Amino acid sequence: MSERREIEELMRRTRRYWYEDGLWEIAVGGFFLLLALLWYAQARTPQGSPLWAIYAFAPILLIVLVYTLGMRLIERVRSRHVWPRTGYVKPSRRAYWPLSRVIGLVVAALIALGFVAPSIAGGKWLPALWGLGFALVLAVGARFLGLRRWYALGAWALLTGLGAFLLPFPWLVSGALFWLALGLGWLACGIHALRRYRRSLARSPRGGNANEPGV
Amino acid sequence: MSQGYKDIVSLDRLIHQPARLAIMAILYSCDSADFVYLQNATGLTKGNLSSHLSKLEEAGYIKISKGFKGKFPHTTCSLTEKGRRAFADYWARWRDLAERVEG
Repeated sequence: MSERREIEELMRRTRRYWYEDGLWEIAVGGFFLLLALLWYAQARTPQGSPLWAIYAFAPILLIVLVYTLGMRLIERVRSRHVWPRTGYVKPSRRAYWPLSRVIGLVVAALIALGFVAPSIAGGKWLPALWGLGFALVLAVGARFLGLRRWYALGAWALLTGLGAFLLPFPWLVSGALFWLALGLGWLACGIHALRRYRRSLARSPRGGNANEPGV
Repeated sequence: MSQGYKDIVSLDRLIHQPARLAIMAILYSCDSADFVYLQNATGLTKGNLSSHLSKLEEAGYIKISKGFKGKFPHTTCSLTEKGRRAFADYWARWRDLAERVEG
């Protein structure tokens, strides 16, 4: 029944098509680097000042900005360089539902922990927990989509979380270092995937949809 | 007639054909896919893919939308609710059969 495995792989390939070019990882990596900057700026600002509060809520604005502008930019690049050659797939929310549930649960837990973190042991343990959260989500995602490089990203998240936890810095500084290392890891992974994808694109003819027969 | 044989006979023959099975599996995993992606993923020729898509459309399993992207024709395909149910049913039966055969 190797045909069954081939079909399963075809389904996984379609689900991971959105992530195959590495652009998504590059965008998320950039977001983590901006987050690291914000956290570092917050760590350098005296607690209680208006700027401190702005830094604390800025990540929410950053998420909205990256999601809207970043996704639009990615779509623009893909519609010019990727889709004419390898085709367009509109992802299905229904197909991603099992993965979305896991991500939703982990993200909700991390956000909740973010609010109580400073009150428990100075929040030092938070980056280690984030690392574990990311590792879990990435492992589930890697299995669901058949994207092996996400296992490496998960291991990196676990390591950086542990490293940030062991560093003798206040939690905001450790957090900033965690986001910095995580962002660099995602960027490196995305760039590596993009280079591989570009090599595979070179083998695909451009403008494949120019001669579609009447269906 | 054994139960296993009955199960094989009861499989949807329109979907059971390998090329159409591949097309249905792809469309089941996304909202819609265009002609170029379907051709790349299945390895079928344009004419062959076109003929399989027509058969699936006639059965009411897929919806084909035609438009233009810039100067080029752009065809996208998606599963209808009927097609989604038919594939889910087929896939469940087939997996069950495969597991029984593999022991």
